[in-house]
Amino acid sequence: MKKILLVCGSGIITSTIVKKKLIEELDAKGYKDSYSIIQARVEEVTEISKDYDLCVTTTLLGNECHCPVVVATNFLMGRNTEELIAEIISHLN
Amino acid sequence: MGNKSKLFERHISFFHQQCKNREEALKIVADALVEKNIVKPEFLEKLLEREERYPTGLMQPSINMGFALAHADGEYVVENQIGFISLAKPVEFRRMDNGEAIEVGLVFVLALKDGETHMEVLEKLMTSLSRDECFEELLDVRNMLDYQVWLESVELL
Repeated sequence: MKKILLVCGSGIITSTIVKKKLIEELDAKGYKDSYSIIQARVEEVTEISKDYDLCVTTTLLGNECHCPVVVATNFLMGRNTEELIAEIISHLN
Repeated sequence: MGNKSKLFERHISFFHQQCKNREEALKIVADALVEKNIVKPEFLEKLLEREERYPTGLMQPSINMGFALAHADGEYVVENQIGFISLAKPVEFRRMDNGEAIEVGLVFVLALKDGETHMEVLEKLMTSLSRDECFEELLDVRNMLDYQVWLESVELL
């Protein structure tokens, strides 16, 4: 089980939109039940990221992150999502 | 109709406003939200603070203009509502993903206690604004009636 940390400024608005799209995309690609997602605020990243396999973020991380980071703002706009999902999957394999 | 339309029912909307900068634009909407007791008095301060630290601008490259989804923590929200302001001349915001300055012509101010409950509306809003023709139509809107027509056309009302 891969652990994904989903981050935005407030941990509620943009990460919620991205979460839905991410789940749809990952499940469609056959990754259902092979990952878990936790939403967090950007302030919490440094402290908790060491326990995660990947950080997916909509905002700039100004602080240190202890796992690979993918910027997923394109999910919000539905732009280049194939590239984005491929990058995310590369970290889940 | 149903629940989603409630998010626009208080008519916190301003069209083609002349603003010098994003602070001015956000203040117009936040003041109206405070006045109608939709948010707590600290809302504007929190909105500006959030925009400074975690910008909410998103770029629409094909029309060389962006929009912003300004918001603050749910604890400053009394009643869920979405405010809006369009600018006669775009003002500078920064991009959510890389902090780069962009010209923004449309600003939504999300007074929401949480994202999950309003998922459908947020998604529809994002999808609509990512389409050039919808973006441009909204830029042309000059009054509440046309705004409601636009909201209906993108199934937000």
